[in-house]
Amino acid sequence: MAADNWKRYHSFPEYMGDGTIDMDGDTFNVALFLSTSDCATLTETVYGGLTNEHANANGYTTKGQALDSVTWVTSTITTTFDSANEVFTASGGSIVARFAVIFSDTAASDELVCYSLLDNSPADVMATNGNTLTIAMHASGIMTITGGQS
Amino acid sequence: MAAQTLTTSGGSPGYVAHMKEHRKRIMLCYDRVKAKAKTNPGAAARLAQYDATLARYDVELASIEKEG
Repeated sequence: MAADNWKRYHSFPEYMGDGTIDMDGDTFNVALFLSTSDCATLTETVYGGLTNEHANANGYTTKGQALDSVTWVTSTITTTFDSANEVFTASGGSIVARFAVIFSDTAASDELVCYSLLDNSPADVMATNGNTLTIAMHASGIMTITGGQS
Repeated sequence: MAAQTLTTSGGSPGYVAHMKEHRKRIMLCYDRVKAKAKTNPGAAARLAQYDATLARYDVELASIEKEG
């Protein structure tokens, strides 16, 4: 089982460029969404516009968890967004989700960054009571932005 | 179902590979974030995370090398 690559929302570069999102200072959350969510629509712009997040239960808290040690690093013409792995622990029931969404919890309207399909079969993923669900970032990072000439 | 790990980008787990690469990325942006931390509380919080994560990675990598 593997998760899909992260897909960035169309408006993300605009939010970086106009200062809505500060890559060095914002807190970025990762939140879990159900198969019925519209979060795979790349024209979505803010967290509040997304439907069908995982319930605030079973160890999961609405708006998810903050990513740890976010990095934003440029090497020649490629800039990489990365973080430590994220671990959710189910408690009192199962955590069942289809998607993970990263957004800025600091930006005024919780602007969106990207989403991932957690099992690219596609299928739901589940952590039963007492077990963990780890979203492991790829060695290449969450996302890269590249272009121009070196 | 037991605990599970889902690696994004459709790749193999690559836990150690990511840890090594993420460690390099932290080092590359550490000074920039440190400079911003003087006036930006979010950057200050991130700097503290960097210190904790680097310490954790060092312990884990040393353990892996010892086992390997």
